[in-house]
Amino acid sequence: MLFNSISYLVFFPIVLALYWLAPDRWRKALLLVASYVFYMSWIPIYGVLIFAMTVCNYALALVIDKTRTTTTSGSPSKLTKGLFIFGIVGNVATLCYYKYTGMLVETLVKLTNGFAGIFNLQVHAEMPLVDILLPLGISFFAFEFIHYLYDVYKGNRPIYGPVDFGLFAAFFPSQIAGPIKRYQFFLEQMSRPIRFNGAMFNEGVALLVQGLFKKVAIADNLIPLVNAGFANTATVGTFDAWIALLGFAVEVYCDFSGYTDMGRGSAMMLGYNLPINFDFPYLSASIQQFWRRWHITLSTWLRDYVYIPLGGGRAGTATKYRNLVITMTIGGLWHGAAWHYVIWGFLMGVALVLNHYYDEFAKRTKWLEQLHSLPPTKVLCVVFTMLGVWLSFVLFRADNMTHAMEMYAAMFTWRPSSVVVELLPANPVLIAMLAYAVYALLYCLPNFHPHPLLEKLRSRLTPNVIPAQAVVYASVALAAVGFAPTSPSPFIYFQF
Amino acid sequence: VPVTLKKPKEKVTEQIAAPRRMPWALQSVLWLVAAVAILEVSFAMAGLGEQEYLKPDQSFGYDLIPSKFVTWRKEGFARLHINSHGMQDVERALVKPAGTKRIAVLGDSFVEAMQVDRSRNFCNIVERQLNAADGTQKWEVLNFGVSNASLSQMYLRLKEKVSKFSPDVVAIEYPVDATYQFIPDQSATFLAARPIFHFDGHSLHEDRQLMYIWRQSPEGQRYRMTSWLRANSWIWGVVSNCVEQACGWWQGLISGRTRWGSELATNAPPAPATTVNANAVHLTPEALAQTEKRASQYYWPIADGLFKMIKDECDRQKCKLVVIRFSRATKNDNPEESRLLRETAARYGFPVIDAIPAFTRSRAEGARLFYDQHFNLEGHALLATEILNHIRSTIGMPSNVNP
Repeated sequence: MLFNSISYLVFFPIVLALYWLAPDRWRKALLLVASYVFYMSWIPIYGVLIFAMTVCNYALALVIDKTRTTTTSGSPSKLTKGLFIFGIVGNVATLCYYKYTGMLVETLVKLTNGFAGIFNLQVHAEMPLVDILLPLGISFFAFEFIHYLYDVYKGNRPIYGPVDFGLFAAFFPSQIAGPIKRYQFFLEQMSRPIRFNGAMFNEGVALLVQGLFKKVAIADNLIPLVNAGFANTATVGTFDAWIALLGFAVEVYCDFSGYTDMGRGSAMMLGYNLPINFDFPYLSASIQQFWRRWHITLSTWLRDYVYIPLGGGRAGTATKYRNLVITMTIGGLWHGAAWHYVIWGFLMGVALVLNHYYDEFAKRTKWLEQLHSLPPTKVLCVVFTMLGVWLSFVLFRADNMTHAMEMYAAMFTWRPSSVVVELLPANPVLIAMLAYAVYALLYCLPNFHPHPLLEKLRSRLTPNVIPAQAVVYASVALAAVGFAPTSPSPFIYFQF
Repeated sequence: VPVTLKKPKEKVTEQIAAPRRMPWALQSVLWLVAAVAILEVSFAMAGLGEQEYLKPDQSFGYDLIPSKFVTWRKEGFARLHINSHGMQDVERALVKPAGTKRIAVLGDSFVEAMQVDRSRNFCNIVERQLNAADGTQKWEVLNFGVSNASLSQMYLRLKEKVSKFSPDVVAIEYPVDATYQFIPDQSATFLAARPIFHFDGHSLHEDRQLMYIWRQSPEGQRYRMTSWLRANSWIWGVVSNCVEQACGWWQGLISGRTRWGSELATNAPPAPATTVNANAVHLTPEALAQTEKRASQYYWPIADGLFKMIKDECDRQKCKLVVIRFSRATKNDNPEESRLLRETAARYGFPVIDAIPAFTRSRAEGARLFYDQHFNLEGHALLATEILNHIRSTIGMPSNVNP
């Protein structure tokens, strides 16, 4: 079920009403059932997969916790270690089976045919039909299970209640595309009695309608422009290519952060807090900062469960750089089973290495440090960082490496434009983006300290009585559906 | 020592600091007014909620809403303003200016041409070309196209609306398969609620029963009650679009066509292939052609009668009649219908501009003349060229017109 679908518009109010009307002790069970209904509305059989993974991880963690006897050297026992490795391998294998089988088979076939060509062998491998449908959100809940097993293995207390664990695994506001939760944080919320909190509910509604607007009014309207550009990489003009790329940059942000807003908003209306996933990433002044502000829960997950276990930055600069590249390459692969994602991740790793190296160099050079403290330099840093990130998005969005290279060629050599440029006047997205920019300036930039006049305007333009708030929320929701294209589109991150 | 008591400072501060709060009801009303204004302006700027451009009409069943802005995105793209007479055209004076000749074009959505910019539909191209070629007088090509219009509606529109503009030439569009419009539609929907003509073997009889039935229906009553909003509010357009989508979703759900939560179209497994009914009768192309031929023959007397009435009306108004015939996106020609039209035209003495051969030729050469159903820019340009090519021989246009 999509957050931006009519099904959800019916489903969520029913769940919300039942949830708040039900006695406290029933609420978790109710949410668990609702989460399975939500998940199984797509392909019911995949409910069995998430259930099986939940049961296995729940049992494994309990056993790991029970058998965790440290040896004299301070390391866990062999049994615990074995169970832990079994759990991690099981989760990774499930993820790989559903997500990477196609890619592996394709690569093997290409390699076989390539070697056959080099060595003049009379062998020709045919691409077998790999018909595995990726279960929704498997990358997200597999990562949550890995985090859970790792933390329990490291000595954290597991979740004992089966309903609690089931809800942690299947909680519908974060089930399909994150944010990737940390169980300690979620368990703490499940352990306390949930009381209706007006302010939290209000914030939840605001997030829900804001996310809906970002997704359906902006991201969905950009899809035809972006698709037209990336589907015709051989024929697009220079402006076409740039519009398609910038369109994709806005689309992917509004799509994913819109989803997260809707998920967080729905959770807040149910009395739960989900972690923040985006913090104005397109205002970052360096790649390092960008990854601290873009898909924060994935970045921190990769830091805690890949980068640090690999040794992090403890064993010297060279190892740190190596670990950064490995971590980001895995991050790239996580995004999709295709080589262009891997290359994109690798390049992001290299960019991070350069960023770290430059930072250390700048710290040692006084004039550079002073230069970086000047406001124009900060603005330039934001501009260059964004240009770099957006250029890397060509690799992210293109269907394959050939298309990506064609797109770069179109961007940097002059060609007359007619593909995307012609679609622009018919698209209402510019008005939607303008409306959102005004809205974001007024309501969404909490750490942004503007002119006192704007601050005053902001406080004046914030309704503080419930009917006025309802009017504003209804208007934003209406604007969202008004700007929305006729048919809803799935979220980009669902495929990951 | 007398002690002067000062006013307590805190109290003053409190009084100043206390925020002046507007009464909640007033605040809510102000927010509501502001929200409505902002939404109306935003939707108008973006051209949203403008999909309703037809209104019920006592005389013709339905007509374009006068002075309505329309942004068309279904096929092609255009931002248009319907004029105050309810025509998809620039503002036209009712009284014909001196030294001006007028061609009134009547037809359905192909003439209405919402899919392309107004300056590039065939009516405008013809008008421009005529004015460029003929320096002696001014030419106006008036667009009276209305979506889904039948020949019956065109006749009534000619009598009651077009005549007020004193046209010199009346051009009636009669594309391939237009005869099928006479097959009675009992669906009691908005577009079916229009005057129809029955043929009793001797003469035609006008029937407005479907219009009366529809007007009493919930949909008809809703249209009547919301006519002002439909004509003037963008928010209304957006809301009614949403309601329409929700109703479609609900009907799909209860009929089993849609599955709950199955909106993940691109990610979902393919829908089961349409089950082939073993008992279904599948027509061979020959049988289909035969059926079409019979249908054309069966309903042609109505068309024939209407053409006679239109010709008589044109004679009464002292203007020339011409019929424009062209292909549709899904069909090049209906030979039986074309034959019957030629016979009728010869009988009553009006010319037919037959663009079907040009359309057939262009399509054979690989030209793309249509979006999904309607003309694209190339289609309009081709039809305009054909009209201009035939115009001298058919209705005696200036000899220097050389498209």
